[in-house]
Amino acid sequence: MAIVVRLDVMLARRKVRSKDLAAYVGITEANLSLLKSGRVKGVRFETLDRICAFLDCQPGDILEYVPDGSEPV
Amino acid sequence: MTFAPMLARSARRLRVATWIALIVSIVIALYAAGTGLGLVGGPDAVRVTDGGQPLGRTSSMVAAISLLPFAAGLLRLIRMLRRIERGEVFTSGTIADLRGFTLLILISALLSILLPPALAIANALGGGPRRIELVFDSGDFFALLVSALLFLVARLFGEAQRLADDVSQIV
Repeated sequence: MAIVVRLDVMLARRKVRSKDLAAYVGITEANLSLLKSGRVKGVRFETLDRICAFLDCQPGDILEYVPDGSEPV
Repeated sequence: MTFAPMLARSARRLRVATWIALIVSIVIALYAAGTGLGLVGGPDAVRVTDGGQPLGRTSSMVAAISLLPFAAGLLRLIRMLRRIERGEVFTSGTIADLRGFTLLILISALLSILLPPALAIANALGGGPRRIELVFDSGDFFALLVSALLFLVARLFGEAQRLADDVSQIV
């Protein structure tokens, strides 16, 4: 998949626990874990909005486009 | 009472009724096959005719053959109902069983329509009477239409289940 989820990086930068973010966004920890590992088919704008609000970041800080075959930055 | 227990109870009742229908259809199929092979005497269990003239023992074989996919379809229906009782309403397994059931019923309906004329033609080619009369019962076509419609509904359910799976993977 060309879209890489950088949520774990942002969580580490902000020193936020997954549990707190999941509670704020209103999704289960299991779903957040799936999102962090990129094993989801999509992210709702509503979810993205809540994540960005909690982590004080932009969607581009969480999602990165990496063309297939090239190494992620 | 909430919807889920009511659905489970209805599924259980229908499953019991389907078991009875399955046993009856197997008995009829065995009897028809028995008379077709000359193992069981007496009149044909189910008569299939062409133009009002009974085909004789072959009619029993037609009935037996067309009942086979019907019985297999009932088995798939029983499996589907058992899944619904367990609360698996829109799972891939339930949809697969529904699709299998409708497909087998469709095959059974097709066989009951196509086998008698096919046998009449084969009989004529094999030295039987040269005149072939092909008579189709409107009831058979109605059964075929309903089976085809059920099959289409099952396909639609399959698509709905795929979409539900997709949605469940969007967080």
